[in-house]
Amino acid sequence: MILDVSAGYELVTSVAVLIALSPIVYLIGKKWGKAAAWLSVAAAAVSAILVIHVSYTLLTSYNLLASISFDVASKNYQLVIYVPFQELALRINLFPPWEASLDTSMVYFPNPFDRSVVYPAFHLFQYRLVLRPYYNVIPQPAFRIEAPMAVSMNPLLLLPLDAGLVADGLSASVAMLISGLGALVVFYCTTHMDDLKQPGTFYASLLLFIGGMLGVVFSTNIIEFFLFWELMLIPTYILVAYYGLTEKRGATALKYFLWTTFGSAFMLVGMLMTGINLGTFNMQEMGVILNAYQNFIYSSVLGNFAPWLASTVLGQQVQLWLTLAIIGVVMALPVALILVGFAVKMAIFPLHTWLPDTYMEAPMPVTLLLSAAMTKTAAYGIARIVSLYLAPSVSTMTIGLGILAIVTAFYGGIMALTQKNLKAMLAYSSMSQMGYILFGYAMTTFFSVTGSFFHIINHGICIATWFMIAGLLLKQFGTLDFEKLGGLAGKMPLTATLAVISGLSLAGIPPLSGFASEWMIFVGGAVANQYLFLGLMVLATAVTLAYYLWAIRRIFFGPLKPGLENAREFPLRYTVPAIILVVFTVILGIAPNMATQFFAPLFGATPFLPTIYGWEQITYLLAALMMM
Amino acid sequence: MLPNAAWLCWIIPMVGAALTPLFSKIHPKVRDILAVLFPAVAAALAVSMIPDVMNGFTILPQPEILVGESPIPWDITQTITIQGVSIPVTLRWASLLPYNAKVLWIPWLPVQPPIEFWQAQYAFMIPRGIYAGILVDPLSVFMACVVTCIGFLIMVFSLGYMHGDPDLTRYWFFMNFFIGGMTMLVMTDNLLQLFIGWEIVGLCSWALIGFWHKKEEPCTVPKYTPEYRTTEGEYNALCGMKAFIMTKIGDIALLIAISVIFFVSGTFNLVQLQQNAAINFAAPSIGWVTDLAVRGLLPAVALLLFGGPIAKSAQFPLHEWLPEAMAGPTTVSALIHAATMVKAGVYLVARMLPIFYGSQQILLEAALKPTNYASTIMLTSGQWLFLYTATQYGLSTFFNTVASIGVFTAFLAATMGVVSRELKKVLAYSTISQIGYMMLALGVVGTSAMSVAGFVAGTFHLMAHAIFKALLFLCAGAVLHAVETKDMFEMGGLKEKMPITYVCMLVGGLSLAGFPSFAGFFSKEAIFGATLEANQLAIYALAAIVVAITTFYTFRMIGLVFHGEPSSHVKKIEEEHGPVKEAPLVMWVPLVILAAATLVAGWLEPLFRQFFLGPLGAYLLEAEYVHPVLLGGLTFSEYPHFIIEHTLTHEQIVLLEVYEYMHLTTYSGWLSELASAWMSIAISLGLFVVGFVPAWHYYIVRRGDPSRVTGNRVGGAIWKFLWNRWYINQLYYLVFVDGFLKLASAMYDYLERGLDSLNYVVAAVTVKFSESFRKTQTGIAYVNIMYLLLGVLVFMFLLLVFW
Repeated sequence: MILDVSAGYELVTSVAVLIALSPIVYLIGKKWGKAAAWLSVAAAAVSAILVIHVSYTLLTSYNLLASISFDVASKNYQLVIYVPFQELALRINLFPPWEASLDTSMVYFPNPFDRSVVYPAFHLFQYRLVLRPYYNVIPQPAFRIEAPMAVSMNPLLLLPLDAGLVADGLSASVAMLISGLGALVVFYCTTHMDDLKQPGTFYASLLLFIGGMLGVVFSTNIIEFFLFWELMLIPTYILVAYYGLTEKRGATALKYFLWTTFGSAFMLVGMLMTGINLGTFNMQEMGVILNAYQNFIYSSVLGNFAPWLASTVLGQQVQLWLTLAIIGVVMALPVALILVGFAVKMAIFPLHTWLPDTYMEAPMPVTLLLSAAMTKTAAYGIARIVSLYLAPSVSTMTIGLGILAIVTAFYGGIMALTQKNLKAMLAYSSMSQMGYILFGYAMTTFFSVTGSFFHIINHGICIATWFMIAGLLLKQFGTLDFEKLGGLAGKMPLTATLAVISGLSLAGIPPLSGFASEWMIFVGGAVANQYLFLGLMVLATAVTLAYYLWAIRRIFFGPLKPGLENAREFPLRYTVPAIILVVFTVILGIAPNMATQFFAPLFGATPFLPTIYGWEQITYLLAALMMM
Repeated sequence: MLPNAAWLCWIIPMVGAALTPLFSKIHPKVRDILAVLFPAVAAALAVSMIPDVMNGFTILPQPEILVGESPIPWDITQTITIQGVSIPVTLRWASLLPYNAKVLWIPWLPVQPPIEFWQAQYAFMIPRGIYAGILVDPLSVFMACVVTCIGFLIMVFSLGYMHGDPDLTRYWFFMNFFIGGMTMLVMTDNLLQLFIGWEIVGLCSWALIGFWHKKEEPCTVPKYTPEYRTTEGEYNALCGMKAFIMTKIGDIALLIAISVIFFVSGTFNLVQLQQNAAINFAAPSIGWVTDLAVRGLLPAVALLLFGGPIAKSAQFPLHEWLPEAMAGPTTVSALIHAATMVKAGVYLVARMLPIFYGSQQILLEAALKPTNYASTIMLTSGQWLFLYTATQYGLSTFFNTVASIGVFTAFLAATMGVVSRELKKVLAYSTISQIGYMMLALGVVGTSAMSVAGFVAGTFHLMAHAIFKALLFLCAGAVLHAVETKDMFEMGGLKEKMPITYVCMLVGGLSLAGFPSFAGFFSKEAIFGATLEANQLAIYALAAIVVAITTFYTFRMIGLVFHGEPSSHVKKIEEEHGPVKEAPLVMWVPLVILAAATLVAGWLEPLFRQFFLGPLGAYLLEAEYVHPVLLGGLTFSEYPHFIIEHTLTHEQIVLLEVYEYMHLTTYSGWLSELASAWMSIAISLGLFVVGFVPAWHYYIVRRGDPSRVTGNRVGGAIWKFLWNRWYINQLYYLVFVDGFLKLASAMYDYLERGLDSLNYVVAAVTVKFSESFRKTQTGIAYVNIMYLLLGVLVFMFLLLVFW
């Protein structure tokens, strides 16, 4: 237990070190550019190590739980979904930290996944246990808590607004990606960006950027989420506007800024609506309250009108379905608004027009972070805010979101196919991959959401490798045009190998990590009964494979192009970040469990609404009528 | 069986692949020898599994995941004696590994996924997540032996053929990875891992076909593609990419099918899929095949599943990648495009066949005797019959498609082979054609009553073809190595110069053409027998015609390469590098081994049938119980009606079927069966002569001039049509490459630019608005005061009105 308390401080430190050191780096950079760079490397590395340590602290305890969770031979298999903890699911403990370390109630919750550690960041000094909610199939008398309902009757008076950081399977895995990539990228900058105008500003912005992203994923409530979200925007604006590659950088940065703010405006409205509807902004509590809603509807609707039905298994199923459907309808508008904000960040068609320009404009390490880490915060946000707690609402939008996702995947892929420049191709490629991720969320099934979440990590790793290699090529040859590159595999076999592995992984070729997540997304499509969508989505992998193979062939294969005779392999110091990432690509492909063990249990306990076309519509209609 | 052989036989080549770069740091010699050693070990491990399988010893993974009671006797050991022939039918569980040896099971997903409540009947199927595993049964062991043994011989051949290549590390890496991936594909127990192996194979083929991507010589290959470039290297890289992307199209279909099957059945495990195909005994409910049929998805899913084999085994319409794939080194062609990779598709069809076939039989049985299943599911005979009809409809679509595509591909590719100029392309077309035969055999099984015979015919042809095609390719490699050209018209007269290669090629060619006593003859006759058994006369006719075409192009090839006078190119080579010599020892020894195998393999057919008699045969026999003799050649769809009228006891039918099958596993029975099929053999021989005579006339003794045939109008038109490969390639390029790229760039120019310009339209409108509005900001004091007063007035007015 003491370990967990220290883990909490580590969590705070991992974000704080980046944000706090940012102005210091700026000041140092005014005089000593190299020192600023290496200080940034140190800060990013410390942050990454802390995040990874916290994450693995979560994991070690989790394994203890998994071994006792489930009995195959049980005849009541439909009821064994996470039964062991259901009676504890709603208990919220509120006490100061010195009590927490002694409190025996901790013993009841050996699973840190269920026990999100919330630490004070601002003025509230309290240690708090918030449990991840479960929706239960069986009605429990103890669940009929009036308090959340009462809260929601008086939302403006009782809205609790506390800030903190939470590490659970979801945020920890994305945070590992972001901080790990952050550390590698800052290190990469020390070799790649050696002729910076103002290294202090650059590295300070970079640190602030990474810190902002970490803050986003570690946020405990959606207002805090939003604040970090905006914080993340400012350094990226600086990085694009001041370090852009062409003369258009100012305009491009403005375009990027305006687009993101446009999305954020929608998102803020949606978040406020969510908070007011549910009576809390705390994401964990949102789930608890939804649970209470569900039980309220449970008992009041069927319990009053058809008590004889409520006691049967069928009745329970109907009730679950009905209540989830009602919640889905109630929360549909706020969820849609939030999704607009995320869609802008993820560059979902047709809200993507900021992306190509910005990616082309930003220097390579920044593009890398934009693509591999920043867009992932939006994907994480969907998983955290929407899929995990508001899954029923997403279920109501399966078809619309599915179409958007497929259009994005194909559109990005086709655009990537036409590009004559590697960086532009990669920009459209990452847009296309966002389509896959959105598709998984849209299907709202266990497999697809787990796969999407896993794809966040895989895509982050693989596209980062490609951007690093692109940066190195650009640095050596001064161009990324396919026309001018060719036949480099003989000259730089290591680089070619790295590029090939990452490209194939993105195209979903096993045994690489991209496949491990993509098949889950596709299976999810089948589970959601969307066979046409499934087929189209899988077809998009052919486009992906086509443009990656084509790019690889044009850059690395064939005879050497004139002007490249002096090409040579990059020094190991340049390629080490890419090598590390490729090793992860291979390892996660062979043993995807290494990553999925963090978040699959969380999605496993989420009650995704089963979608069967036709029934769904009728029930939603019924639910809407009832709400009137 | 050697310890853990089933795991190690695919892990060892993969590990070997991973270690190759390390070995290359030690010494190139060490690397080469070790690279060949890994497949040797794998082959030894694979072969060591044969005796166990022959003894009816089947290893199925994870016994604890199989829950529920199945009426299919998984645990029987009994001997049936009919007319003095005693038949052991044995099937039992055994675990290869200690019970707790979970280290080798790689968990894919850690938790039990929640199953939505109306799919709760499937929840039991999912153990603690999704694991990697192995399945040892005759089919998998047979395939593993073919892959590793032939792979090993090809690797030995490569020692000579690829000697001195600067990129050998890459070569050994992908060759070993390929063998490992392919062996994993066939040894695995679940569809997901099978798909992984499937894609590994595709990946390696991409890398190996484009292996010589650095070649600077101008490209000698005729122009087929708009992407055609000037150098050989670029052409090779293009061919590799083409192969990968075309097979990917099939993989997409396969992945969709696997996803849907997983959703419906809740499992990837092949054993569970087989157990729960028709009826899910543990849930209890209808099984996944029946479920798909009721949902109306069965034809679509089965055909999507077949999409994978279509691409991987180069069947029409996705066969176009294979001829181009000859751009790789000849050893690669031998390994990937003849012996193993293209057989993956055949393997998958053979693997799914008992599942599909068995499910409709079980439903039929349930329809006849619903009381047998009453403890599982209470359905009336009519309800069962409905389920049977739905399933049978979907599956007959699948089987008929497999058979028709197989026979059409056999014909299509054979005609292309007739006009080819390149030595390896002839072999490529013949590969496509022969795989068409295998598909045809497996397809007619589904509509035939004698399913085991046809099944074994298809797999037997797979083995025979793997051997003789590897032989032919390696011979071609030896020839290409000697004369340094791809074009057959630039060879000729090599008979005396390379006698061993000549004899080996002749053996391979005779086997390919189906000359009696060679391996290809027996397997082809078995296929024809199965086709006739199923009453598929049209398919038989087309398949028989292909024999004549095959014979023609085979002997055209041999004649052009080995007979006649040496061409000017050969003379030039001899002037430059000295006389053309026989291939070195390390190259011709594998040739001789394979030639000997070609001569022997055909005579092992009864033993081969015995090999398959074990668990798989038992399963098939158990699943089907309708005897063709009793039914007098009725087609399959007429069975239910017939059975309802003449009910046989189950035991009677099984015994008769077993007897029929056992008959063929003894040499006397097999020979008498061959003798009774004299008419089919006579037709085949007649067609052999029909194909052989023109080849002999034009190309071996060279009495006639073939250009007189192609010179006239009709002949020329046919020649042009075949030379352009029925214009299929051109069509694909027109639509899917050029057309698609045109569409893409049009989208980029209009849609993407248009969307982007909307940004600037908004910006411009905003600027316009503010510029026009700015004019109100005059900065003149009295105007401002006037506005202020106006504002106050409006405000007061609003207050008064709305207060």
